Amino acid sequence: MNYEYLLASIFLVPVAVYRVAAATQKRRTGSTGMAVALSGMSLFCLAKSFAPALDRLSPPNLSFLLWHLSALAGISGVRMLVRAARPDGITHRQVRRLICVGVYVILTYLVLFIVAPKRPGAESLYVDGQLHPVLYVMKVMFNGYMLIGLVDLLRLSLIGARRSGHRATRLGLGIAAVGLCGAVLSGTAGLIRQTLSLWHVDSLGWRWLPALDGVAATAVGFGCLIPPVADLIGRWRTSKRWHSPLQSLWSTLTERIPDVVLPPPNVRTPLGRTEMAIVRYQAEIADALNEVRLTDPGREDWLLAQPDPSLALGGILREPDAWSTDPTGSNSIVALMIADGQALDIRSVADGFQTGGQHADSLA
Amino acid sequence: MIVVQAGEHGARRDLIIAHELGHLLLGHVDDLRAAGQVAGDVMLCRKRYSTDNERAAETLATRLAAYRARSLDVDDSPAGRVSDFMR
Repeated sequence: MNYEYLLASIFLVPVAVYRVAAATQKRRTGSTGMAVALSGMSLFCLAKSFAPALDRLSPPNLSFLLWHLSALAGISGVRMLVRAARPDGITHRQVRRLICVGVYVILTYLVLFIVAPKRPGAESLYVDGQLHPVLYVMKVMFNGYMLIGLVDLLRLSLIGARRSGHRATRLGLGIAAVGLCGAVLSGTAGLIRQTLSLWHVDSLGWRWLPALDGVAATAVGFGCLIPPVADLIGRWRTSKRWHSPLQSLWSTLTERIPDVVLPPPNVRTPLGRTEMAIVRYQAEIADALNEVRLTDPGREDWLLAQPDPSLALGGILREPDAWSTDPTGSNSIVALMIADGQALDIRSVADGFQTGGQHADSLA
Repeated sequence: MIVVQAGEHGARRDLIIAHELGHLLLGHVDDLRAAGQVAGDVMLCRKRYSTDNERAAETLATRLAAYRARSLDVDDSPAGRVSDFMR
Protein backbone atom coordinates (compact mmCIF):
# COMPACT_ATOMS: atom_id res chain seq x y z
CA MET A 1 0.00 0.00 0.00
CA ASN A 2 1.23 3.52 -0.88
CA TYR A 3 0.78 5.54 2.30
CA GLU A 4 1.42 8.95 0.68
CA TYR A 5 -1.57 8.42 -1.58
CA LEU A 6 -3.64 6.91 1.22
CA LEU A 7 -3.05 10.08 3.24
CA ALA A 8 -4.06 12.23 0.25
CA SER A 9 -7.17 10.04 -0.22
CA ILE A 10 -8.19 10.60 3.42
CA PHE A 11 -8.25 14.34 2.71
CA LEU A 12 -9.61 14.23 -0.81
CA VAL A 13 -12.46 11.71 -0.65
CA PRO A 14 -14.58 13.69 1.88
CA VAL A 15 -13.86 16.90 -0.06
CA ALA A 16 -14.93 15.24 -3.32
CA VAL A 17 -18.13 13.84 -1.76
CA TYR A 18 -18.94 17.31 -0.40
CA ARG A 19 -18.30 18.90 -3.81
CA VAL A 20 -20.43 16.32 -5.65
CA ALA A 21 -23.31 16.96 -3.23
CA ALA A 22 -22.90 20.74 -3.68
CA ALA A 23 -22.77 20.43 -7.49
CA THR A 24 -25.93 18.31 -7.48
CA GLN A 25 -27.74 21.11 -5.65
CA LYS A 26 -26.24 24.06 -7.56
CA ARG A 27 -26.27 22.61 -11.11
CA ARG A 28 -23.69 25.12 -12.35
CA THR A 29 -20.85 24.36 -14.76
CA GLY A 30 -18.18 25.66 -12.36
CA SER A 31 -19.44 23.58 -9.44
CA THR A 32 -19.74 20.52 -11.70
CA GLY A 33 -16.20 21.07 -13.01
CA MET A 34 -14.83 21.31 -9.47
CA ALA A 35 -16.72 18.17 -8.42
CA VAL A 36 -15.40 16.19 -11.44
CA ALA A 37 -11.85 17.46 -10.82
CA LEU A 38 -11.84 16.50 -7.15
CA SER A 39 -13.57 13.17 -7.83
CA GLY A 40 -10.90 12.37 -10.44
CA MET A 41 -8.12 13.29 -8.01
CA SER A 42 -9.70 11.18 -5.26
CA LEU A 43 -10.04 8.13 -7.52
CA PHE A 44 -6.48 8.69 -8.73
CA CYS A 45 -5.17 8.61 -5.16
CA LEU A 46 -7.35 5.61 -4.25
CA ALA A 47 -6.14 3.66 -7.31
CA LYS A 48 -2.54 4.49 -6.35
CA SER A 49 -3.16 3.55 -2.70
CA PHE A 50 -4.60 0.12 -3.50
CA ALA A 51 -2.48 -0.58 -6.60
CA PRO A 52 -1.10 -3.96 -5.41
CA ALA A 53 -4.61 -5.30 -4.73
CA LEU A 54 -5.97 -3.97 -8.03
CA ASP A 55 -3.09 -5.48 -9.99
CA ARG A 56 -4.05 -8.94 -8.81
CA LEU A 57 -7.33 -8.51 -10.71
CA SER A 58 -7.95 -8.74 -14.46
CA PRO A 59 -7.00 -7.15 -16.86
CA PRO A 60 -3.28 -6.87 -16.07
CA ASN A 61 -2.04 -3.45 -14.88
CA LEU A 62 -5.57 -2.45 -13.87
CA SER A 63 -4.36 0.11 -11.29
CA PHE A 64 -2.19 1.77 -13.95
CA LEU A 65 -5.22 2.15 -16.25
CA LEU A 66 -7.55 3.32 -13.47
CA TRP A 67 -5.30 6.02 -12.08
CA HIS A 68 -4.56 7.38 -15.54
CA LEU A 69 -8.26 7.48 -16.51
CA SER A 70 -9.18 9.07 -13.16
CA ALA A 71 -6.53 11.72 -13.63
CA LEU A 72 -7.67 12.46 -17.20
CA ALA A 73 -11.29 12.84 -16.00
CA GLY A 74 -10.05 15.13 -13.22
CA ILE A 75 -8.12 17.26 -15.70
CA SER A 76 -11.28 17.62 -17.83
CA GLY A 77 -13.11 18.85 -14.73
CA VAL A 78 -10.32 21.33 -14.03
CA ARG A 79 -10.51 22.73 -17.54
CA MET A 80 -14.28 23.15 -17.21
CA LEU A 81 -13.84 24.94 -13.88
CA VAL A 82 -11.17 27.28 -15.24
CA ARG A 83 -13.32 28.24 -18.21
CA ALA A 84 -16.39 28.79 -16.02
CA ALA A 85 -14.40 31.11 -13.75
CA ARG A 86 -13.48 33.48 -16.57
CA PRO A 87 -15.14 36.92 -16.50
CA ASP A 88 -17.24 36.10 -19.59
CA GLY A 89 -18.30 32.73 -18.14
CA ILE A 90 -18.75 29.64 -20.28
CA THR A 91 -21.30 28.87 -22.99
CA HIS A 92 -23.13 25.56 -23.46
CA ARG A 93 -21.19 25.10 -26.70
CA GLN A 94 -17.87 25.45 -24.88
CA VAL A 95 -19.04 22.99 -22.23
CA ARG A 96 -19.96 20.46 -24.93
CA ARG A 97 -16.58 20.99 -26.62
CA LEU A 98 -14.67 20.45 -23.37
CA ILE A 99 -16.67 17.28 -22.65
CA CYS A 100 -16.02 15.98 -26.21
CA VAL A 101 -12.27 16.65 -25.89
CA GLY A 102 -12.19 14.95 -22.47
CA VAL A 103 -14.07 11.88 -23.72
CA TYR A 104 -11.85 11.73 -26.82
CA VAL A 105 -8.66 11.83 -24.75
CA ILE A 106 -9.95 9.18 -22.31
CA LEU A 107 -11.10 6.82 -25.09
CA THR A 108 -7.86 7.27 -27.06
CA TYR A 109 -5.88 6.52 -23.92
CA LEU A 110 -8.00 3.41 -23.36
CA VAL A 111 -7.34 2.18 -26.91
CA LEU A 112 -3.61 2.84 -26.53
CA PHE A 113 -3.64 0.87 -23.25
CA ILE A 114 -5.33 -2.07 -24.98
CA VAL A 115 -2.66 -2.25 -27.70
CA ALA A 116 0.29 -1.45 -25.40
CA PRO A 117 2.50 -4.29 -24.12
CA LYS A 118 1.41 -5.37 -20.61
CA ARG A 119 3.51 -6.19 -17.57
CA PRO A 120 1.37 -8.49 -15.36
CA GLY A 121 1.91 -7.83 -11.67
CA ALA A 122 3.85 -4.61 -12.26
CA GLU A 123 2.58 -1.23 -11.05
CA SER A 124 3.68 0.55 -14.24
CA LEU A 125 3.85 -0.33 -17.93
CA TYR A 126 7.03 1.69 -18.31
CA VAL A 127 10.44 0.05 -18.07
CA ASP A 128 13.44 2.32 -17.99
CA GLY A 129 15.52 1.94 -21.13
CA GLN A 130 12.91 -0.21 -22.90
CA LEU A 131 10.28 2.33 -23.86
CA HIS A 132 7.80 1.06 -26.44
CA PRO A 133 6.59 3.74 -28.95
CA VAL A 134 2.93 3.25 -27.91
CA LEU A 135 3.87 3.74 -24.27
CA TYR A 136 5.77 6.90 -25.12
CA VAL A 137 2.72 8.28 -27.00
CA MET A 138 0.60 7.45 -23.94
CA LYS A 139 3.04 9.25 -21.68
CA VAL A 140 3.25 12.35 -23.86
CA MET A 141 -0.53 12.43 -24.27
CA PHE A 142 -1.21 12.05 -20.57
CA ASN A 143 1.41 14.50 -19.33
CA GLY A 144 0.63 17.05 -22.04
CA TYR A 145 -3.11 17.05 -21.20
CA MET A 146 -2.34 17.19 -17.51
CA LEU A 147 0.08 20.10 -17.88
CA ILE A 148 -2.46 22.12 -19.92
CA GLY A 149 -5.05 21.72 -17.18
CA LEU A 150 -2.63 22.30 -14.31
CA VAL A 151 -1.09 25.45 -15.77
CA ASP A 152 -4.56 26.91 -16.43
CA LEU A 153 -5.64 26.14 -12.88
CA LEU A 154 -2.37 27.39 -11.40
CA ARG A 155 -2.78 30.75 -13.17
CA LEU A 156 -6.35 31.08 -11.95
CA SER A 157 -5.39 30.10 -8.38
CA LEU A 158 -2.60 32.66 -8.30
CA ILE A 159 -4.95 35.41 -9.53
CA GLY A 160 -7.45 34.38 -6.85
CA ALA A 161 -4.80 34.22 -4.13
CA ARG A 162 -3.75 37.80 -4.97
CA ARG A 163 -7.11 39.46 -5.64
CA SER A 164 -9.84 37.76 -3.61
CA GLY A 165 -11.52 39.92 -0.99
CA HIS A 166 -11.88 36.96 1.37
CA ARG A 167 -8.91 36.09 3.54
CA ALA A 168 -9.90 32.41 3.74
CA THR A 169 -10.18 32.21 -0.06
CA ARG A 170 -6.77 33.86 -0.50
CA LEU A 171 -5.22 31.38 1.92
CA GLY A 172 -7.03 28.39 0.41
CA LEU A 173 -6.11 29.31 -3.17
CA GLY A 174 -2.52 30.08 -2.08
CA ILE A 175 -2.14 26.60 -0.59
CA ALA A 176 -3.82 25.07 -3.64
CA ALA A 177 -1.39 27.01 -5.89
CA VAL A 178 1.58 25.57 -3.99
CA GLY A 179 0.16 22.10 -4.50
CA LEU A 180 -0.42 22.81 -8.19
CA CYS A 181 3.20 24.00 -8.59
CA GLY A 182 4.26 20.65 -7.18
CA ALA A 183 1.93 18.85 -9.59
CA VAL A 184 3.25 20.82 -12.60
CA LEU A 185 6.81 20.05 -11.51
CA SER A 186 5.97 16.38 -11.08
CA GLY A 187 4.24 16.16 -14.48
CA THR A 188 7.13 17.89 -16.26
CA ALA A 189 9.70 15.74 -14.46
CA GLY A 190 7.82 12.58 -15.36
CA LEU A 191 7.83 13.50 -19.04
CA ILE A 192 11.54 14.38 -18.97
CA ARG A 193 12.29 11.12 -17.20
CA GLN A 194 10.52 9.04 -19.83
CA THR A 195 12.15 10.97 -22.67
CA LEU A 196 15.59 10.49 -21.12
CA SER A 197 14.91 6.81 -20.66
CA LEU A 198 14.57 6.49 -24.45
CA TRP A 199 18.28 7.24 -24.59
CA HIS A 200 18.94 4.96 -21.61
CA VAL A 201 19.79 7.98 -19.46
CA ASP A 202 18.52 7.53 -15.93
CA SER A 203 19.64 7.04 -12.31
CA LEU A 204 18.92 10.68 -11.57
CA GLY A 205 17.04 9.71 -8.40
CA TRP A 206 13.36 9.99 -9.41
CA ARG A 207 12.00 8.27 -6.34
CA TRP A 208 10.79 11.60 -4.94
CA LEU A 209 8.13 11.88 -7.65
CA PRO A 210 5.37 9.80 -5.95
CA ALA A 211 5.95 11.67 -2.68
CA LEU A 212 5.68 14.98 -4.53
CA ASP A 213 2.40 13.83 -6.13
CA GLY A 214 0.99 12.93 -2.73
CA VAL A 215 2.05 16.23 -1.13
CA ALA A 216 0.69 18.21 -4.09
CA ALA A 217 -2.68 16.43 -4.01
CA THR A 218 -2.92 16.93 -0.24
CA ALA A 219 -2.15 20.65 -0.54
CA VAL A 220 -4.78 21.11 -3.28
CA GLY A 221 -7.42 19.22 -1.28
CA PHE A 222 -6.59 21.13 1.91
CA GLY A 223 -6.65 24.46 0.04
CA CYS A 224 -10.06 23.68 -1.44
CA LEU A 225 -11.40 22.75 1.99
CA ILE A 226 -10.41 26.03 3.70
CA PRO A 227 -13.00 28.45 2.15
CA PRO A 228 -16.14 26.38 2.89
CA VAL A 229 -14.89 25.53 6.38
CA ALA A 230 -14.03 29.21 7.06
CA ASP A 231 -17.46 30.16 5.67
CA LEU A 232 -19.15 27.73 8.08
CA ILE A 233 -17.13 29.04 11.03
CA GLY A 234 -17.99 32.65 10.08
CA ARG A 235 -21.70 31.83 9.81
CA TRP A 236 -21.60 29.99 13.14
CA ARG A 237 -19.88 32.92 14.89
CA THR A 238 -22.37 35.44 13.47
CA SER A 239 -25.27 33.25 14.54
CA LYS A 240 -23.78 32.80 18.01
CA ARG A 241 -23.27 36.58 18.35
CA TRP A 242 -26.84 37.59 17.44
CA HIS A 243 -29.15 34.70 18.33
CA SER A 244 -29.26 35.25 22.08
CA PRO A 245 -29.73 39.09 22.16
CA LEU A 246 -32.39 38.96 19.44
CA GLN A 247 -34.18 36.05 21.10
CA SER A 248 -34.52 37.78 24.48
CA LEU A 249 -35.88 40.98 22.88
CA TRP A 250 -38.19 38.94 20.62
CA SER A 251 -39.54 36.96 23.60
CA THR A 252 -40.34 40.14 25.53
CA LEU A 253 -42.09 41.82 22.59
CA THR A 254 -44.04 38.83 21.28
CA GLU A 255 -45.28 37.99 24.77
CA ARG A 256 -47.36 41.18 24.52
CA ILE A 257 -47.75 41.27 20.70
CA PRO A 258 -48.12 37.57 19.77
CA ASP A 259 -49.83 37.98 16.40
CA VAL A 260 -46.61 39.08 14.62
CA VAL A 261 -45.19 35.56 15.05
CA LEU A 262 -44.91 33.26 12.02
CA PRO A 263 -44.52 29.49 12.58
CA PRO A 264 -40.80 28.86 11.90
CA PRO A 265 -40.02 27.59 8.36
CA ASN A 266 -38.66 24.04 8.21
CA VAL A 267 -34.85 23.95 7.85
CA ARG A 268 -32.73 20.79 7.92
CA THR A 269 -29.43 21.85 9.52
CA PRO A 270 -29.00 23.29 13.04
CA LEU A 271 -26.96 26.22 11.66
CA GLY A 272 -29.62 26.89 8.99
CA ARG A 273 -32.33 26.80 11.67
CA THR A 274 -30.43 29.35 13.77
CA GLU A 275 -29.90 31.63 10.75
CA MET A 276 -33.56 31.36 9.81
CA ALA A 277 -34.55 32.12 13.42
CA ILE A 278 -32.37 35.27 13.32
CA VAL A 279 -34.10 36.44 10.12
CA ARG A 280 -37.53 35.83 11.70
CA TYR A 281 -36.59 37.47 15.02
CA GLN A 282 -35.52 40.62 13.17
CA ALA A 283 -38.67 40.70 11.01
CA GLU A 284 -41.01 40.05 13.92
CA ILE A 285 -39.24 42.50 16.25
CA ALA A 286 -39.59 45.20 13.56
CA ASP A 287 -43.30 44.34 13.12
CA ALA A 288 -43.86 44.41 16.88
CA LEU A 289 -42.05 47.75 17.29
CA ASN A 290 -44.58 49.28 14.89
CA GLU A 291 -47.11 48.72 17.70
CA VAL A 292 -44.99 50.07 20.55
CA ARG A 293 -45.78 53.46 22.13
CA LEU A 294 -43.92 55.05 25.03
CA THR A 295 -46.15 55.55 28.07
CA ASP A 296 -44.30 58.77 29.01
CA PRO A 297 -44.45 61.11 25.95
CA GLY A 298 -41.62 63.16 27.51
CA ARG A 299 -39.21 60.31 26.83
CA GLU A 300 -39.87 60.47 23.09
CA ASP A 301 -37.89 63.70 22.68
CA TRP A 302 -35.14 62.33 24.90
CA LEU A 303 -34.98 59.15 22.82
CA LEU A 304 -34.79 60.99 19.48
CA ALA A 305 -32.01 63.22 20.84
CA GLN A 306 -29.79 60.22 21.67
CA PRO A 307 -26.72 59.56 19.45
CA ASP A 308 -28.07 56.06 18.79
CA PRO A 309 -31.88 56.07 19.27
CA SER A 310 -32.14 52.35 18.41
CA LEU A 311 -29.74 51.46 21.23
CA ALA A 312 -31.57 53.77 23.66
CA LEU A 313 -34.92 52.25 22.61
CA GLY A 314 -33.55 48.81 23.55
CA GLY A 315 -32.82 50.14 27.03
CA ILE A 316 -36.36 51.52 27.39
CA LEU A 317 -37.93 48.23 26.29
CA ARG A 318 -36.36 46.54 29.35
CA GLU A 319 -38.83 48.49 31.51
CA PRO A 320 -42.26 46.78 31.17
CA ASP A 321 -44.14 49.90 32.30
CA ALA A 322 -42.27 52.25 29.96
CA TRP A 323 -44.12 51.12 26.85
CA SER A 324 -47.50 49.83 25.74
CA THR A 325 -49.34 48.69 22.63
CA ASP A 326 -52.35 50.93 23.19
CA PRO A 327 -53.07 52.44 19.73
CA THR A 328 -54.77 55.53 21.15
CA GLY A 329 -52.75 58.64 21.84
CA SER A 330 -49.26 59.15 20.45
CA ASN A 331 -47.73 57.59 17.34
CA SER A 332 -45.68 54.40 17.53
CA ILE A 333 -42.06 54.94 18.39
CA VAL A 334 -41.01 53.62 14.97
CA ALA A 335 -43.27 56.16 13.22
CA LEU A 336 -41.72 58.92 15.35
CA MET A 337 -38.19 57.78 14.47
CA ILE A 338 -39.01 57.63 10.75
CA ALA A 339 -40.61 61.11 10.89
CA ASP A 340 -37.43 62.35 12.59
CA GLY A 341 -35.25 60.83 9.85
CA GLN A 342 -33.79 58.18 12.18
CA ALA A 343 -33.13 54.67 10.90
CA LEU A 344 -34.31 51.77 13.06
CA ASP A 345 -31.51 49.23 13.55
CA ILE A 346 -32.95 46.04 15.05
CA ARG A 347 -29.55 44.69 16.12
CA SER A 348 -28.80 47.92 17.98
CA VAL A 349 -32.19 47.66 19.71
CA ALA A 350 -31.29 44.07 20.73
CA ASP A 351 -27.88 45.21 21.99
CA GLY A 352 -29.51 48.04 23.95
CA PHE A 353 -32.05 45.60 25.39
CA GLN A 354 -29.21 43.43 26.69
CA THR A 355 -27.02 46.24 28.02
CA GLY A 356 -29.64 48.70 29.24
CA GLY A 357 -29.11 51.13 26.37
CA GLN A 358 -25.33 51.24 26.41
CA HIS A 359 -22.90 50.09 23.74
CA ALA A 360 -21.77 46.52 24.40
CA ASP A 361 -18.15 47.67 23.92
CA SER A 362 -18.41 50.28 26.69
CA LEU A 363 -19.40 47.55 29.17
CA ALA A 364 -16.47 45.31 28.33
CA MET B 1 -46.77 47.80 -8.18
CA ILE B 2 -45.25 47.16 -4.75
CA VAL B 3 -45.36 50.04 -2.25
CA VAL B 4 -43.08 50.12 0.79
CA GLN B 5 -43.56 52.43 3.77
CA ALA B 6 -41.11 55.36 3.89
CA GLY B 7 -38.22 54.74 6.27
CA GLU B 8 -37.99 51.01 5.64
CA HIS B 9 -34.55 50.08 4.38
CA GLY B 10 -32.09 47.22 3.88
CA ALA B 11 -33.10 43.68 4.78
CA ARG B 12 -36.50 44.76 6.14
CA ARG B 13 -37.47 46.53 2.92
CA ASP B 14 -36.30 43.47 0.95
CA LEU B 15 -38.43 41.19 3.15
CA ILE B 16 -41.53 43.32 2.58
CA ILE B 17 -40.98 43.31 -1.20
CA ALA B 18 -40.25 39.56 -1.16
CA HIS B 19 -43.51 38.96 0.75
CA GLU B 20 -45.56 40.68 -1.96
CA LEU B 21 -43.62 38.90 -4.71
CA GLY B 22 -44.35 35.68 -2.80
CA HIS B 23 -48.09 36.30 -3.18
CA LEU B 24 -47.63 36.76 -6.94
CA LEU B 25 -45.33 33.74 -7.35
CA LEU B 26 -47.61 31.50 -5.31
CA GLY B 27 -50.63 32.52 -7.41
CA HIS B 28 -52.63 34.04 -4.54
CA VAL B 29 -53.99 36.90 -6.66
CA ASP B 30 -55.22 34.44 -9.28
CA ASP B 31 -56.79 32.32 -6.51
CA LEU B 32 -58.74 35.34 -5.23
CA ARG B 33 -59.93 36.22 -8.73
CA ALA B 34 -60.89 32.60 -9.47
CA ALA B 35 -62.88 32.44 -6.23
CA GLY B 36 -64.76 35.56 -7.30
CA GLN B 37 -63.68 37.39 -4.16
CA VAL B 38 -62.11 40.22 -6.12
CA ALA B 39 -62.34 41.65 -9.63
CA GLY B 40 -60.08 43.96 -11.57
CA ASP B 41 -57.10 45.39 -9.65
CA VAL B 42 -56.21 43.73 -6.37
CA MET B 43 -54.47 45.39 -3.43
CA LEU B 44 -52.67 43.15 -0.97
CA CYS B 45 -50.90 44.31 2.18
CA ARG B 46 -48.46 42.59 4.53
CA LYS B 47 -50.35 41.92 7.73
CA ARG B 48 -50.67 39.21 10.36
CA TYR B 49 -50.28 35.55 9.47
CA SER B 50 -53.79 34.39 10.24
CA THR B 51 -54.43 32.93 6.77
CA ASP B 52 -52.58 30.19 4.87
CA ASN B 53 -51.76 32.60 2.03
CA GLU B 54 -50.12 35.14 4.37
CA ARG B 55 -48.11 32.41 6.09
CA ALA B 56 -46.99 30.94 2.76
CA ALA B 57 -45.95 34.34 1.33
CA GLU B 58 -44.04 35.28 4.48
CA THR B 59 -42.34 31.85 4.65
CA LEU B 60 -41.14 32.24 1.05
CA ALA B 61 -39.99 35.81 1.79
CA THR B 62 -38.08 34.58 4.86
CA ARG B 63 -36.30 31.89 2.86
CA LEU B 64 -35.31 34.47 0.21
CA ALA B 65 -34.12 36.87 2.92
CA ALA B 66 -32.04 34.15 4.61
CA TYR B 67 -30.49 33.22 1.25
CA ARG B 68 -29.75 36.87 0.48
CA ALA B 69 -28.16 37.39 3.89
CA ARG B 70 -25.70 34.61 3.08
CA SER B 71 -25.01 35.82 -0.47
CA LEU B 72 -24.33 39.51 0.27
CA ASP B 73 -20.54 39.22 0.48
CA VAL B 74 -20.06 37.26 -2.78
CA ASP B 75 -17.01 38.50 -4.67
CA ASP B 76 -17.81 38.82 -8.42
CA SER B 77 -14.19 38.59 -9.70
CA PRO B 78 -12.84 35.39 -11.35
CA ALA B 79 -11.36 34.52 -7.96
CA GLY B 80 -14.71 35.21 -6.35
CA ARG B 81 -16.40 32.87 -8.80
CA VAL B 82 -13.92 30.09 -7.96
CA SER B 83 -14.52 30.83 -4.30
CA ASP B 84 -18.27 30.72 -4.96
CA PHE B 85 -17.91 27.34 -6.67
CA MET B 86 -16.15 26.16 -3.50
CA ARG B 87 -18.93 27.28 -1.17
